[in-house]
Amino acid sequence: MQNGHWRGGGASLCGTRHARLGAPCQDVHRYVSLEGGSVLIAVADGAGSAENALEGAELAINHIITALTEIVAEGPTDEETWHTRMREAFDRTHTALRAQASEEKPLRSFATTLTCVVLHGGWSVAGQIGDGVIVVETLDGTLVTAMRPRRGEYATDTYFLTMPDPVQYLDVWISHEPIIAVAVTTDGFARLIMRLSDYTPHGPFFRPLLDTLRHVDEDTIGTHLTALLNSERVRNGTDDDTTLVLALRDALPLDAPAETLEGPSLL
Amino acid sequence: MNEDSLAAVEFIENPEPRCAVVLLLDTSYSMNGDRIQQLNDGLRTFEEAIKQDRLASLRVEVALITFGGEVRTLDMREGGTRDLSDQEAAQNGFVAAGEFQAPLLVAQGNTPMGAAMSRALRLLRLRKEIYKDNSVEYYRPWILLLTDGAPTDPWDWAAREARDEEQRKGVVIYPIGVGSDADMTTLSQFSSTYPPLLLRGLAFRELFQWLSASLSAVSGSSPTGGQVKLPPPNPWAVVDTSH
Repeated sequence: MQNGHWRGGGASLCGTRHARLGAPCQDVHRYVSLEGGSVLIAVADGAGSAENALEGAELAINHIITALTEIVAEGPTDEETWHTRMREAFDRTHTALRAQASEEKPLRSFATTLTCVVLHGGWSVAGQIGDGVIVVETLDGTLVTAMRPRRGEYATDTYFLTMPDPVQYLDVWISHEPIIAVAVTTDGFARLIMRLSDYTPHGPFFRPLLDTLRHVDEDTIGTHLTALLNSERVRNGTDDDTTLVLALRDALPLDAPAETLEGPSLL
Repeated sequence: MNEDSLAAVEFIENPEPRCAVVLLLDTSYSMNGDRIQQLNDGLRTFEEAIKQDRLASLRVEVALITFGGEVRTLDMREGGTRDLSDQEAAQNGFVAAGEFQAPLLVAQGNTPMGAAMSRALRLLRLRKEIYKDNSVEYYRPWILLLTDGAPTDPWDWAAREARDEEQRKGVVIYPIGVGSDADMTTLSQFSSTYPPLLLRGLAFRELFQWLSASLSAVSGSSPTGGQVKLPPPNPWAVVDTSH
């Protein structure tokens, strides 16, 4: 998918762990390319132990995309407003999940994480409740970890969108600096591409990945990522569900102030 | 579609998340004969079973503390013949499940269960510090407490420590009684989550098969994934259906 500013796509693959336990794949992602050149990314990882986690993940994705689309239409112009809108979007999504709950399907059975990114008008904004990871590449080629899991007190804790008052667990990252690549992943794959001791991105993974995918036919990015997640090396490295979603800046902005990123392609 | 187009990407090797298990075993005099023999058999069953699971072999690590006359933390990396100090035990007392070798336990002496539980809790506390210092993720550790009698030492404080640590979600404790002399009431004081179960006869092999399957389930999950469903204990436990 390509809209004159960004090219990108994603892949989610079922891990062998779930196949062993007879549970469905619970990683879901969406990459949305909006007409004005903005991009929305949403990733959800259903909790393995929750009966309706896949449904929860899908609902969460759909609702957050709707909310983010509205925010883009509004087009916030300062950090505080972006922060508020992101909080509202997560709150709305939580409420939507609550509305689906019933006695047979309690809210906690829809337990899922939710990670999202908005790329609009020179702004890069990310929100997360859960344990996904977001890495961005800045104009000078530096890889930055924009989002990492917020761990509870004990190693076994993850925060889910379905918890009571979950917005207290929301992390938001906002940047108005030029970003030329965004990668979003869930915890199953993150452990293969991040140094877990301090959540720094593994350069030897990201550099060849981004360099290669900048040059392939844009419609094939999703297919390349699927092949990657399906490769023997990845299968041997983790038995968890894996997800990787990428957005690559199509026109490399020169040393231009942020406002000109909204203009025509610089190539 | 060229699958090799991304062949140049390299992956990183992070340390595996660890699941520590302390087997806290009664080797007092009353365990002599069939009981200790079947227990040793059970440990051999565990050794075989856990190695069948690749992930569990890497992630589960086992320490063995026996209480019979004295409390001993066995040097599992060296055949279980030496007793380790607390500090040594935190560093070297755990052996990866893939390298676990069942020791040969002998029964003698009385039952210092209180001291044994205190030591087990201390060992896990120290082990967690080591995990944290090395940025290793970990699952909530397990203590499997097995006895055929009652403590012969002051145990009140240790039991309270155990319950508190469980309540803080710092450990999971499974208390198991063997034989008709097992003091189940006292055993129940050592856990706030699980009521003690009575071993069905000498079903140690079934117990350790269950332990291996349960640890496989846990270590196969994400350390942050929440509750994992364990196999039912019926094969080895007397499940009370009287009420």
